[in-house]
Amino acid sequence: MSSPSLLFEISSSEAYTNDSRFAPRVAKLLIRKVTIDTPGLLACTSRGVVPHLSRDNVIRTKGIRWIHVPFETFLEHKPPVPTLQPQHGQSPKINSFLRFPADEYVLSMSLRDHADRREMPANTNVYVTANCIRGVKKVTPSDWRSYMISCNPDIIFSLSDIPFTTPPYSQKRLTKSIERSALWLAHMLHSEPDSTSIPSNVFVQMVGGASAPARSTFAESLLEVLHGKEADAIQPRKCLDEGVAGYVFDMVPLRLAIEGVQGLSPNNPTIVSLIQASLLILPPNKPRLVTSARGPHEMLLLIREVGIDLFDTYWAQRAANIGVALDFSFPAPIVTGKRDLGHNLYDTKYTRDFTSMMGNHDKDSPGICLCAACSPYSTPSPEIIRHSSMDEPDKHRDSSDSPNPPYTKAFLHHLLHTHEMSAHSLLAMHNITVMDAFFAGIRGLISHNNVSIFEAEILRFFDTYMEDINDMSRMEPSVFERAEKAWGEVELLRGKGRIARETERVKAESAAAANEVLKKEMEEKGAEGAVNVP
Amino acid sequence: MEFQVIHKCPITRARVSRMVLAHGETVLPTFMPVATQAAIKGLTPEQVESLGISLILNNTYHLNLRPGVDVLKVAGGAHLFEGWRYNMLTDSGGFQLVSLSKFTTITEEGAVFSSPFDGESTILTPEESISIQHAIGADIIMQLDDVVPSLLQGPRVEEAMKRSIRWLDRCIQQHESAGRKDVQNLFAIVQGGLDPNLRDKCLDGMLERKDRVSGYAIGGLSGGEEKDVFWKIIKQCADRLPEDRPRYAMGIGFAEDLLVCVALGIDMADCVFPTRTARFGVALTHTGPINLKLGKHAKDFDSIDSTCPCPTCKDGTSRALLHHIVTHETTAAHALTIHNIVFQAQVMGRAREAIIAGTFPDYLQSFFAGYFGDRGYPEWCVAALRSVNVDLLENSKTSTVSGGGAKWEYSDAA
Repeated sequence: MSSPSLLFEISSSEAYTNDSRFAPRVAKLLIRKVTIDTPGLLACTSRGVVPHLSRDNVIRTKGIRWIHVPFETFLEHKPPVPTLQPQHGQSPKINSFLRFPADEYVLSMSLRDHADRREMPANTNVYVTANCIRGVKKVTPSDWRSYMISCNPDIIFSLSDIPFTTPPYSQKRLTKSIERSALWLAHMLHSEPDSTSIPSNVFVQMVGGASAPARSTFAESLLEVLHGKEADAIQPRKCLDEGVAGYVFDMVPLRLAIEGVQGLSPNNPTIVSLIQASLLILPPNKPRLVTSARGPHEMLLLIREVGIDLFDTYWAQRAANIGVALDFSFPAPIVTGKRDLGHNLYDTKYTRDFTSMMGNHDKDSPGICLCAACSPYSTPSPEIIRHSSMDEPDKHRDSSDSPNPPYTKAFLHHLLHTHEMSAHSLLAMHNITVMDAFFAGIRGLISHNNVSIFEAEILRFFDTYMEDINDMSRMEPSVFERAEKAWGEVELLRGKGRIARETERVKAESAAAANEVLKKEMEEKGAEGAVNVP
Repeated sequence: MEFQVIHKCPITRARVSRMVLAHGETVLPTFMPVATQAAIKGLTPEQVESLGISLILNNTYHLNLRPGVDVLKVAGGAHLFEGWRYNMLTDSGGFQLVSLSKFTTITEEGAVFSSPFDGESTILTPEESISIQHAIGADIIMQLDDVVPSLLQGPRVEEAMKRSIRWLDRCIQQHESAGRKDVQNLFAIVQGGLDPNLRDKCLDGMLERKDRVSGYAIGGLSGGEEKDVFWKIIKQCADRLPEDRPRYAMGIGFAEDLLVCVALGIDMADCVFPTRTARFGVALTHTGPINLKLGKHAKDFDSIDSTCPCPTCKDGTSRALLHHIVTHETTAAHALTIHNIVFQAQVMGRAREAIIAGTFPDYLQSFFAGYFGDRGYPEWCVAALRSVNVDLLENSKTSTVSGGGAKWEYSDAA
């Protein structure tokens, strides 16, 4: 049993269709009963769950329609536990295991977490190395295919050979990467005559590193018409690309590769030029997905220059982890002066700020945020759990048709400094919702049929908001850098292992004090030689 | 406060009552989850209220440190600050001063301690405790009491008991003069350690002040004392406390302790245990706690309890998935916190239902059979319930075990 094929219907206006294969576009991606409007988002997961969001809060966050699950954490058991999940009706095993109903969510899976840039042992011709808490595991293309056939997610990322070793990567390494990725894709697509288990929606992570020619070569290998045994294996398809439902661009390894070649040639390759090199000859009617994009500026650039359709919300979820409440919208509000993309809620200036996270509450502020932190709705009275027949629903209180007051920056500030987990739940719901509204704004303008307005709004957005980048020329650290620092400090003070650290500190202090005493005594006695402080 | 006893168990001392406070009605007996620093760990108020919880606890000591009284005053109190729309109770801050601060000394004036921020010597007087609790604005506030370790013996225990009565007078005075009597309700705390004579003396003193307090708590227990001593003190106090005032056992949270207390006439209890144990990966069930960190749950695709109405179980989240995320992802703590809060509420809700139906002794029998049937009833529970005419061993083949009897799943071997 395999997932129904996805449909990708591009509905952009004429202004965009005839001009370039890289033009911005709006589309609908349909699987089963789920429709994803693009440009749009997918939510990142860690160990199979959306970080900080319990099931009910995932449901409360309407922007979450597509969940991406890196599989590698499940490698700690063999066979991986999701593959053992009992089959419930038509529901794919992985949806049953992770509790994402197939009629409500799109679920995609890759072996690795695309945002993890830790150095890994090299891949070989026969396996890819992946991380789990029991260490590095080797996964062969056959393992991967069998896991995916068993789990049966809506969308499978084919195994690609992406180096996570120290760049730069040699020509030879790139060649291997291209050959292996194509071979492993063919393996994923091969049809077994007696089996109905052909993965239907396979996305491919585009390889070639920071070399435009290498990226073109990989694209060519997807289009190459196969012959003989190779052709038989993937029939009725004539080339690999016929089995590919979408193209994936991972920013983390791409940036790593670009860093590696920086300064080696007069013209440093750009992310835009490299993605274009991959897509130039490929059919334009398939979804293009980018992982770990660095905020709305980069996303807008990639939509404008390459026509990217989907982005994961890694950046926004990371901001929620470090205490940043996003506060921006597209089109940007009309304001003077440049502003930040969000608020570092650790900042003491929020101690008494009883306004919501979104907007400065001036006349030009963006609209009301619909997240469960800014517009929290109570559960309707009849749905509240009753523990005895005495617990009567409070008729006077049923206000589920209008939201409760928004959670304030002051409350979030308090929760962050007291290391309360609720802070990150509220921030995650908020930040993902801000991203959802951002993409809705983009779709609105693209389908508005006016290239020049969209382009002008992008420029105005760039003028209105400071980008989240490590800019050495900037006089002071960005909100994101400051939040990360404050988060680290509170984590050290109140997070896991604080008791051990505290004991160490007290020990060190008393050891230092004892040494001081010893040193003094020795000085008084006129002893020779220095005291070694451990 | 409106307090009305509506059903009494004809066999035990258990009762069902209705308590109406400024933020709505709470039916007793009930368990209060603890939101130490203005949040039930990891949850939002909307989640907590969806679980059928109408009374939570905030800690004065913590809220006074952060966000601080000044911020709470500007916010209009803790309810508005944290977005909690139902009832709230705050403790006096005294317990944490003793348990969290190494350098607290008690004088007649108040508790002298060094501030955790600047090390400056600060004093928490009964008056100060009440005015902080006024700023927080909880529906039920507690007197500042002179807390000594439960196991302490000797003259200090008597001194603390007597001082707690004197401090109660100062708290009453402060509370009445501030004009908060009609919106906030002051509870007294019965002290006297593990000595029945001291407890009686404390009860004498505090019962004299009945007209000026809204309810009574029993303090100084749940600090490592013998369970046989524990239940006898609870019984002694509950028997003497007035019928028309709610009775609150402080720091009680194990299911068996809760049900024994209810049988002895207790109406309210609080404890961090169900939410704390959730963060360590333990789910409470009607057949005993299960430790989801254990390997034996790794491939178990059943939910924690298929009959549980909590969002975690209702959604079908499997033990295997919880095992995969527990102690790694905060959402595991959320899922188990949600479940454990509902478990506690169910234990108490079923008690209410049974008391109303006149079947509370049967409920005790069936709960204990389910919870302890496989390994034996704790002797102290049998003894405590016999004191209120329920014999767990009647018609039962289950044996008894000595000691605390708390049931834990420590290892895969268990």
